[in-house]
Amino acid sequence: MNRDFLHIPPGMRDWLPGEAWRKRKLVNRLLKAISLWGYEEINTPLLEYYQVLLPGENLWEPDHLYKLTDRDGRILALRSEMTTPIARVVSSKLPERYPWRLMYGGEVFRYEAIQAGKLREFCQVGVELIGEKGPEADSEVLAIAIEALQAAGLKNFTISLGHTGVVKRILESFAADKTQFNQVRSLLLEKDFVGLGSCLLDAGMNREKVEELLGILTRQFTAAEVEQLPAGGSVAALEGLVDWPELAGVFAELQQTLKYLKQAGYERYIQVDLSTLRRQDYYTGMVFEIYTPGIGYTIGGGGRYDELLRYFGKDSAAVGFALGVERILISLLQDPEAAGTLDSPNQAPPVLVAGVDYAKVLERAQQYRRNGQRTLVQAAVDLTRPAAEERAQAQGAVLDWLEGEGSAAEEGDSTAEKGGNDADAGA
Amino acid sequence: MPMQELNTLLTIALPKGKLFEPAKTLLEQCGYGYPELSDQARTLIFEDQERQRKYIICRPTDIPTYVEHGAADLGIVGKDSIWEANKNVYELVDLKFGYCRFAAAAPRAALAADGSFPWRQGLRIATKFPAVAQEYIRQKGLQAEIIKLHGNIELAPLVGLADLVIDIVSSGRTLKENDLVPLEFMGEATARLIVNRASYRLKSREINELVGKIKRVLETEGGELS
Repeated sequence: MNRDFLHIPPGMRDWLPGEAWRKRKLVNRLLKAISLWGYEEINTPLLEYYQVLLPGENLWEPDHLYKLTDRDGRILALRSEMTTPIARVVSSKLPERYPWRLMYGGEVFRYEAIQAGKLREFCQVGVELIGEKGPEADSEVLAIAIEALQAAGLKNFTISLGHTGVVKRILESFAADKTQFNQVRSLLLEKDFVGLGSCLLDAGMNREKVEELLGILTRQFTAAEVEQLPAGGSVAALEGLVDWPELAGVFAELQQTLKYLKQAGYERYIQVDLSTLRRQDYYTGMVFEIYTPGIGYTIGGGGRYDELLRYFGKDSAAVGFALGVERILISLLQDPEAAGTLDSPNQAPPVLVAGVDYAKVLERAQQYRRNGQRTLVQAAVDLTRPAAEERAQAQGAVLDWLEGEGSAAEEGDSTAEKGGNDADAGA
Repeated sequence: MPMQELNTLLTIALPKGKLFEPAKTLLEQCGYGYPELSDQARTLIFEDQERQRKYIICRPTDIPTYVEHGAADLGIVGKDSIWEANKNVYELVDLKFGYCRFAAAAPRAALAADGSFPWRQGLRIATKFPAVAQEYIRQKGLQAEIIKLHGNIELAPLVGLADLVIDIVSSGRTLKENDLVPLEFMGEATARLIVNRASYRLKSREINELVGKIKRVLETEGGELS
């Protein structure tokens, strides 16, 4: 028989016992750390109208949405990120009682060219802080991201911090049209510095200025370096860099954000990289990406998006981030210590109640469960005690064997009770 | 792989074939030489434990993949391979060597009397670069059947497998010897230094050191802005 239909579509995956548990545990850890900041969980549907999701896509390339048509002929799409659907909800369903502090954990779908290691369905945990602006709000979401990753058990990660103002200011410094703007943004997004250099030369920027600019864009500043900049943030104060007044405002803003992070002791996680950009078009200020050794991709990212809500008819500042659960999981599993904390179940092993009299087995099992003990049952007329012991061992369970009618041993002769787990007291 | 190793070794992927020697020479000029390094040896991994560096040798077309996934922090590879692979890697420096360009070429016999090529829908195009070919033909507003081959593209039109070829050309000699006429040239390519996007952040000190040295070497050789 042809069983080709047993496959699953490319980019999807099954989460088997053990794997699924670890993933859920990680999601819960992240959400718990975030909820300490007073964020409330929100859920939106997997399917949305196509038009709703468009702001989350890059407008100059084909979108990466899974699409289908409903019976009225309207186009639906699976959500590809959570920020846009949440902006829709905030604009249409929540009272204007800002700020809203929202968090989520859910699956998103991105129909990308398939490459090993890239899932098309993946889980994101993230936050949106809506109705607050300024370095205070920016540093709040950065601090939450750091604390969530710490709580997850990730020891070593770096946040690469940038600002969308960089591209904007650079292009404002010489007359650039929309096409040039998109071209520069796209080259910077791909970090094609070779292409960027020739593009700026073609656009009429002089060679000296282009080289200086590439110098600034390919440099990673530590938080301490940015902090040392004089008020106003003139880059000229940094060794080897000529003044670039257009970027002073960006540096001044980042300086403030870093100051608040330093207070929490988090500046060591931050690296300022002005070439940092995000795939989505809706960011309007600070943006960041998170990296960890051993994973070749970002494990999360976010930023400020003050104009997205306008697409849905509201006008409100907003900032947020999303973390890639699968990638964080891969990273944690590379570290035996962190992997151990995900593996060990939080709970006592289950009890296996077994015996030839199924009615008694069920009764005993019910008592266990009422006391919060995970309990399996097994009954068969021809079941022997050794066979039951074997089954219990195979399932990692503690056996409670019920002798049949008239046999010598009655209640009380149970291995489970000797095992001494919590449920025994009430059993 | 132990975390420690991932943290410390700087891994550089080098391409087998014609770009190998110039890439090796450039690294030597930057003080990144390693005497045993060869693309003819049986081993494909060379570890310079003393200086915490690792070199891997692979097919040019695979280098963007190794770098995208972080199996190598850095790679040296032709822009032609980067175009075709369309991977998410950062392109830091134009290394200036390994110049070539893409060309569409057809058999002389297929040309019209005035020497032009009769472009039409449904052409069959043989190429090693299906993504580049697809993009080229799309920009011409045509549809074509792209036939992916792995080498000796010039054979395809001679035996009737394809109407024309799209391939990289450096001197143009191979085309001439097979009586193929270049119709149009597309992008020009040279070797590039590419870097994994996570390594770019996490090993920025080591990477910037190498990039700085490469730029200095290129400048002294009279290279242009890179």
